[in-house]
Amino acid sequence: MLIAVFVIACNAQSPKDQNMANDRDGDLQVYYFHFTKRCATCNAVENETRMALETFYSDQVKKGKISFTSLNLEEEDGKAMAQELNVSGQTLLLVKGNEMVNLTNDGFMNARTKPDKFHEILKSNIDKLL
Amino acid sequence: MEEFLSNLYANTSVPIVSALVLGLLTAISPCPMATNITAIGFIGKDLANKNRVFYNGLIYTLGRTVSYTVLALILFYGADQLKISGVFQRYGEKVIGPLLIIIGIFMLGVIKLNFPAFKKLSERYQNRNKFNFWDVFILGLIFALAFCPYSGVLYFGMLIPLTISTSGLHLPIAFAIATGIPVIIFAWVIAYTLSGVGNLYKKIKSFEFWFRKVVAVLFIGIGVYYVIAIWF
Repeated sequence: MLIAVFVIACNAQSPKDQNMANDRDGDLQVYYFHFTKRCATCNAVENETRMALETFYSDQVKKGKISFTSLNLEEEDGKAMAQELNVSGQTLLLVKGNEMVNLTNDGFMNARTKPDKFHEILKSNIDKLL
Repeated sequence: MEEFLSNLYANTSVPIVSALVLGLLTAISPCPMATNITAIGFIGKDLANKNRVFYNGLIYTLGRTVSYTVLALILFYGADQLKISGVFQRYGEKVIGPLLIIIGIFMLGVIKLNFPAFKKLSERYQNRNKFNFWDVFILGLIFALAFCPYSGVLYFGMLIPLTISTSGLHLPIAFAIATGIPVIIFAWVIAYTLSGVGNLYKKIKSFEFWFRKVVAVLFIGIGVYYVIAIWF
């Protein structure tokens, strides 16, 4: 049975909390939207994003300055957030205030075959936003 | 292979090369590969007629081309990309499993329904000698729309934005041809190198009959795989 809940937040925030957090200047939200059925690359994008955040930004993550949320587009939380952020398919999104950076293509092209390159892209984009 | 193609994609600024590379990446990703293998089985069943096998490979790719191009045109001319891509990515592969099982059952001929429409359909899929342009074309048309998570991102996330930003309406055609390349190659191999096997076995009347049954079981098997993987 495909009863799966994929909503996992690094700092255990609910999407509602994160909406509030999103309004605070200075906090960076990293969202990963996916469907219930996930491919190897889809999992790699999420895992490598988590790994990069833990490796390069562990302090900011602990302080809640950066958070990561994985949302299932086939569940209510995911649908609501996707609508809010104008997302329709699998998407890796950096959001800070009104700024948004979509890293989906970089993730899908690199996360599984060239994770180091993906980490670099992620880091340079996060650094620009911080 | 995947790494080589993604490097090529990252290093090219020529849109048509990008579209071809995206098509090849799609062709080697799990879902399109499964549907392409099924298609190769379907078009290879006319083993005795080498030209027909090869043409079927081209017709199947034509079907894929029409799907990808029409969908790109709809999106290019302003349809709600969010809604359309969401629907296809969400339901594309959910439809394909049951559909493969139904086609497989008709090809097997195990269900004999007396409704004229069903009877006609069943006869059509079991008919040995009829030229099946529309069957193969429609197969390409439908299989192209079975977007899986990865192929969905390649098409909706990369090819469509590239098509829209460069007004390159030829790009979906290049992409589609690249997705069908494995089928064209296998069709060519089956047609012009393995067809000798077909000629040999043609003497045994039951060979083609049983080959058809094997293809039907292949459809049902891959259909069941999709149903289990996606619905359960």
